[in-house]
Amino acid sequence: MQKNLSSSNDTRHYSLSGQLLLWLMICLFIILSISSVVSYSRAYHFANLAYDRAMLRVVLALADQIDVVNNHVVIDLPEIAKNLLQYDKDDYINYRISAPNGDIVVGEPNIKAPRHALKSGAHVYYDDMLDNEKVRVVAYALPIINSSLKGDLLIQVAETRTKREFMVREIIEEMLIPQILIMLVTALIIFLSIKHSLLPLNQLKNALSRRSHDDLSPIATNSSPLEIIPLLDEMNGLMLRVKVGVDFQKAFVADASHQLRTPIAALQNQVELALREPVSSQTRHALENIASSSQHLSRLVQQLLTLARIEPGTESHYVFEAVNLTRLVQEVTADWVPRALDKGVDLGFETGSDQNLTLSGNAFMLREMLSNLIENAICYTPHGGVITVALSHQADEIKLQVIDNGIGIAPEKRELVFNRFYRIEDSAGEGCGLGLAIVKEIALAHHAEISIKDGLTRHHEDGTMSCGTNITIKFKRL
Amino acid sequence: MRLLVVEDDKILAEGLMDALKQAGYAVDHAANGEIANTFLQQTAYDLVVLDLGLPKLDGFEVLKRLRSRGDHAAVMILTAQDAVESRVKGLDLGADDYLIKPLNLTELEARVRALIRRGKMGANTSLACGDLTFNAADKRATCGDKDLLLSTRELALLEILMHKQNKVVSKEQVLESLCNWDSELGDNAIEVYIHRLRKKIAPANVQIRTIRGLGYLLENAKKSI
Repeated sequence: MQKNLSSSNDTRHYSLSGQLLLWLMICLFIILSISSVVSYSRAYHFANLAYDRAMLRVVLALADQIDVVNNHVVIDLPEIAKNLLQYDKDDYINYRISAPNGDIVVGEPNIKAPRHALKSGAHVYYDDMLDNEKVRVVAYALPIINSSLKGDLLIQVAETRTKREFMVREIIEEMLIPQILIMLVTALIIFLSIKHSLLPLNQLKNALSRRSHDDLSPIATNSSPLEIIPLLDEMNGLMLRVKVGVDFQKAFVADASHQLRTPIAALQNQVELALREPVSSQTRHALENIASSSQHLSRLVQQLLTLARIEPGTESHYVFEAVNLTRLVQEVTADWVPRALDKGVDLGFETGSDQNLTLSGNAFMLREMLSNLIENAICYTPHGGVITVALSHQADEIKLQVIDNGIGIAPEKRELVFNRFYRIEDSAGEGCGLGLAIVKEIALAHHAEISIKDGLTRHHEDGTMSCGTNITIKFKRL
Repeated sequence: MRLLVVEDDKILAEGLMDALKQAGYAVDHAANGEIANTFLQQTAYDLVVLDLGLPKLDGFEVLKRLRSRGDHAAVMILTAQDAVESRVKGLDLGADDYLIKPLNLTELEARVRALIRRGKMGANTSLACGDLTFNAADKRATCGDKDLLLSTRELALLEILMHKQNKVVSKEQVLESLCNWDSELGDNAIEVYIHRLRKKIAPANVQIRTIRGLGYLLENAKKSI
């Protein structure tokens, strides 16, 4: 019932743990992204730091070889030195030496000058492109001394960035892999801790689902986490209000039934007295109808009272103790024998066991239950019928049966007859529809199973046949 | 024979009084607990039919005061509460019997008769069913004006059946009534006694029915025809 309700609902439910995990993962991802950007720039910085120095040394070495003779820049660079200068395992190294006017003296013409002019003797490192390749450039302004030529010579060395990139990648890998691992471990820990923290919710759910529909006792809050306590308090408050309402309702039914008894008694007694007087047959017929109606009314009031009393929630008033079921069934059946004889019905008892059968139950309720079963059987069993109350036991259960050869209950109506005020149509009986509802409530309170089968077949003189009713109640044995 | 009906519902009280008057008793009525208490102080009643839920002074209190005065009038409690506790409380306070509303007048009359008989101890201890009369004091059974010749065991059996006529007498109860004479009686022996008794009382228009699995029931044979 409850499951159907929640699943038929189309609203999408989000999971607290899912949401929590999602947000934490988003935060972690952002942190990781920032950290990788920062790491990359730091790694690049340190890679440059390492290789820029080497480049500067090349520049200074070049500078050493430059001379200005007669206003001409002379570079004394033997082939071997040139090769050494340009040789690198991973990268291509190019150089350019420019005259103060910017004209190229020697080297690679495509190396661009730095964006800002350099002071004499200063050097600068910058990133640039050379032949569609990223390069690192160092530029050095070499002042010309002892010459009429004024200005600085610009010495540039450009190096492709393969080994720098490689170093950056190495540094990043060194830094990032542990970071990713830490993040994964963190996520796992977060996931587990969320699961663990939400465990009380699960336990609460289980505790609530184990409850019977009538258990309105407050939920224990002592072991619950602080966050759910307000929710539980509200729920307990609601249950208390419901319980007060239910209790009031029950008390009202009990009081009303109780109050009805005195006037019904007065009515019945007046009719009884009137029937003792010599009256016309018409008046007698009317009085007899009143008597039978008031008896019906009285039984209904009695059943309402019984139902109010045994209804779920009140069974706590009833002490369950060891009940000698054999004796109880014999006594109750014996009490109904005169009624059965009045109707010409043979009511008897059978037991499949020599010893007395006992079970844990409430004698008052069990009496009511059996009384209602027998009364029902008498109602629906015509003159000349047979009703047998049978008691038997198997290894772990006690079976109480009321079997008759009366009009029977159609198989499709066997579930319905336990509903309150349900009456089989066209039935001749005088039951008032509460008897089997009472039986079911009491059986439930005793954790017993109840079922209806065909009873004994009876062949009538007019050739018709009735299949009777067998109501079986299976109790678990102590 | 003077009876007091203590009941606040006017019509119910009227019905009870009419029935009891028809049965030949002198009946007074008290509509509340205080009046009842006053009446009971002034007059010695043989029996009081006492409702529990009364205005001014409840039934339990009336009963308590009655018994504390040492009055032994028979008390029949009339109650709308069938809760076991209130029955037990009533009986503990010294009530002799109780009836639950709504009640059947014939049953009330029978119970009143029984209570008065008990109070008079043997003055009128004959039981009747059909044409059969059983006198418990001198252990005699008569059919009309003819004595029935019964053995002591048959008489004991008849006595218990007569006491509980129209009700089921279990085999255990039958055994109890007979075991004074013979401690070893089997089911077959009971059958034999019942069979003999049936034959002897048949002319008196009473019959002993065997109730399957439960015991025996004595009833007026004309009733079931």
